[in-house]
Amino acid sequence: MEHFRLNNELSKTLGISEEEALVKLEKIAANMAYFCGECDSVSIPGFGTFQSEKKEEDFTIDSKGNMVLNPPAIEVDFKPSVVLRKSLS
Amino acid sequence: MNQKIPLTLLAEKMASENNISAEEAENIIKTTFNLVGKALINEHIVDFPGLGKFIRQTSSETPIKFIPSDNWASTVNAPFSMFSSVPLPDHIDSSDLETLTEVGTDHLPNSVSSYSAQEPVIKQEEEPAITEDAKEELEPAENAIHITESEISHDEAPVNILEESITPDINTNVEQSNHRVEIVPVESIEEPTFQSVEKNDNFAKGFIIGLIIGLAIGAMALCCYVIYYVNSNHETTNIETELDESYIPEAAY
Repeated sequence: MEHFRLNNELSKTLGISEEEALVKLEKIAANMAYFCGECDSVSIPGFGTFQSEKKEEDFTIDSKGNMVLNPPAIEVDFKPSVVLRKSLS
Repeated sequence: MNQKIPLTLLAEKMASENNISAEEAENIIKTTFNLVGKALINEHIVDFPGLGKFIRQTSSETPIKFIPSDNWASTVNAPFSMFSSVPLPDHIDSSDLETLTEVGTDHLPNSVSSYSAQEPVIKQEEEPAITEDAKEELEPAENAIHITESEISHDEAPVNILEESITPDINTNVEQSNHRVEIVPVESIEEPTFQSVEKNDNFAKGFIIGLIIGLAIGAMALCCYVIYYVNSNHETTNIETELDESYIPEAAY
């Protein structure tokens, strides 16, 4: 299911145009990015939780064998809810 | 930070930014994720525009894998956008890294956590100095300038920084005379970040020694005050009271 179909389904469900549906989807994503950027977890009932976690800087070895210092980053992990797990199984 | 944001709070924020009611925003969010959940039952990948992809997996532990889009991930990581991956110099061994991790980042302000943050500052400070030195070396007419590409290592990031700062001067002066510019290995540029830890240690030691000396001087001053003023005042009061009791009878005789 590509994003234009999700956009289409949302526009049909809400009774709005596809452009408006796309704007709303992007607004949802932007608001979730705001909270996840604050290292907060966003919980969507019936769907799951987006858990953001700050990963500290670490050292890795690249393909050439050089040690590389990686900067800190916020990683977002998605944990599906029990309802969604049951519906998928 | 580290809070669990409920749907109502997300809906309120979305409503305040889009001039819609909170109930309407909550309905939109619920409807959207219900559609995504239903789509995941039939589809393998669901692409959420602006957010990322939800990939259905066969494993029972992680039945759905979320891969954020590049734009969304960069928005989330906006506070760390000034940082970038830095190749470490060759002279840093794994033993050095072990000692840094053992010390920890909370106690050292200029430790590993600020290593990458300080590097752009080093770039800005070192670039003008290097160009001035290069100009001084280029001004004498008899010194030779030869730039061989084999001397410029493109693999090391610090050399690239030097290359960017020197190239304008090289282009102007190479045609005038055959000078030689030696590309200096810049591994030593990154050393001040680790030396700054030692500087802070020296500062802390000096601060503690100064504090101890100050306390000692204060204690001595307090002792002197107690010895010379408090005790002397106490004795004088006793003498005065004794004098007051014994003086008048002699005059009467």
